[in-house]
Amino acid sequence: MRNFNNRAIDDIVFNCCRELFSAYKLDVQPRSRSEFPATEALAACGVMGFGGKSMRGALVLATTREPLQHTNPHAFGSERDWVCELANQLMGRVKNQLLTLGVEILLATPAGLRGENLCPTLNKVRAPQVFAASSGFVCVWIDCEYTDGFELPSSPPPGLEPPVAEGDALLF
Amino acid sequence: MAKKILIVDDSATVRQQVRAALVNCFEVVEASDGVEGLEAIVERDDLAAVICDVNMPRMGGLELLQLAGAKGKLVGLPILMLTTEGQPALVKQAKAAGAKGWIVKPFKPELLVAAMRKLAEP
Repeated sequence: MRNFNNRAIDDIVFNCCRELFSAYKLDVQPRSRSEFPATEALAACGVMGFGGKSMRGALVLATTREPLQHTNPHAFGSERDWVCELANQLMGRVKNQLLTLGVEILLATPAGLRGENLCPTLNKVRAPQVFAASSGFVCVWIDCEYTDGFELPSSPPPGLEPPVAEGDALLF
Repeated sequence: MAKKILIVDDSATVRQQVRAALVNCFEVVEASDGVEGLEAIVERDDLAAVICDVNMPRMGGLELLQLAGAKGKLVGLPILMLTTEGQPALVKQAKAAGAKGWIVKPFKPELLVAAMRKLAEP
């Protein structure tokens, strides 16, 4: 069950990561774990904690400098602040996807780290997903634990109200 | 004189992005969490509208909405929620507490400007 859930959540994170960077006009392509950049090349890392009745855990987004510069071309704020916001937006997308399956989670506020001291163990099952941009790398991984017996639904429950889509504006 | 918009967000980057989007139409003032945002709403009488994140340290946007409403500060002061959250229950909660709009990040600058023109310049 846990492996099924992990595979499903990894797929959600994979798609959400590509969609997020695409929204900033940055195409990121999946790469093998062996292409994980040297840890000293990682500029910054954002961590989003989350929890709910069925699952809890953390999502980590780490990038080299170039994707941060591309998605924040005016260099507003600090790299650490921006990677936190990107992690927040990525986890927001993951949350919205889970909501479409009837799974609710609550998000914490993001925490930022310098990337230089990160050293993920690449040969583990829960290894980072690695993406290459036109210049630089994006790495993301999610580490979850699930309530006993919980199985991530594969389709939306009937009658579920969809979440507001990213970029949409509602005026009341 | 340009109307004044308060942006409440714990990300300095997002505050600056919002400022850059609105700078040609509005004057922008900033608060970095719900506590600062509520203080600004209570103390200032020159705000035309507020843009507010939902998940922030110390005080979130929904709590800010409820407290500002309880102090009678939402009369004539439209608040737009700008957040990564898209959960319908949260949108309904914000609407019931007096929010006038909801945008899910990342935002398109032209969409934000159009929304703020509708809200702050009715």
